[in-house]
Amino acid sequence: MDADGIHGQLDTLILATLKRGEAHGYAIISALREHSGERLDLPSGTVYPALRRLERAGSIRGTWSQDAGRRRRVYALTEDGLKALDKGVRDWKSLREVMSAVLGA
Amino acid sequence: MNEYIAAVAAPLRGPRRVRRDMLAEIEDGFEEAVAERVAAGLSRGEAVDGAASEFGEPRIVAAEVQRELEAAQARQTAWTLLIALPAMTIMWDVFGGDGDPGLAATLLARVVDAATAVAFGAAALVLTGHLERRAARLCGLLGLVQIATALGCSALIAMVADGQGPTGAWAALTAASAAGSILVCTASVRALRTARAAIS
Repeated sequence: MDADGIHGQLDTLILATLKRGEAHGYAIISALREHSGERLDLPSGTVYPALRRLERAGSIRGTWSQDAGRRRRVYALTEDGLKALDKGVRDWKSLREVMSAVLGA
Repeated sequence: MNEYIAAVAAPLRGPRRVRRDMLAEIEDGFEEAVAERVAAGLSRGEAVDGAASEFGEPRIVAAEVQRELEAAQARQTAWTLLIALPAMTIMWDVFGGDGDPGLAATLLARVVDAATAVAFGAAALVLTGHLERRAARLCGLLGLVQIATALGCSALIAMVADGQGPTGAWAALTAASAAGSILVCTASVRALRTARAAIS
């Protein structure tokens, strides 16, 4: 699935990934790839601005840390992020039902 | 900085620290993507090409980063408006003297207050997350409009005020207002420049 296919769902996918535990940017990208069975064809560079957007919205919290001599920003889900994830999942299920009904699938 | 990150960085405008941090984060991820490919047996050049392909067109990534820079600049400018504008208003109200300056000067002062209230209100909406679309452009424009209004009206007030000579605090108030105005102008121009750099 390409970037257009997941338009509007990237935030929910990132929040779902962070529900499994805190992670830095590239670990999130790797997890998205792995959990989608390598089917998610997303420009990895666009995940970083999405992380900042989610942080600005209060859904995740980013902190700089030192990892093997590298300065990295590690993200964790917040309480608001958990609520946003629940809403994202509900919205997705609703959309899926509508699509299935219309497409007769 | 590698070529890919340099291409992402080239068109970006906005707060220096946020820009530096975001680019450092992308570069860190990019280097990890390169290292993964090198570990899998590719040459450094092939690994860099592969990572660049994975990270996406620099213009697309830059456009997304620029949106975040614009939001960050909008917040910075909004904070400046939220603090500096009421501070200047209160300063003149408290130390500007008690005498009646006359109807014309009072009306002109109310015009400045109205411009201040509009800019302050917009800044508050931006900082509380109620206004995001074109926030940087709006804050920049309202900041400059407020300063232009304040300068114009202050010049007219100086001409029409009834018998109110400068008080002892007048020089200090003018100097403080000039400093505040420069602060607001600088933040407003930065916001407009950042908004103008939007990448499509």
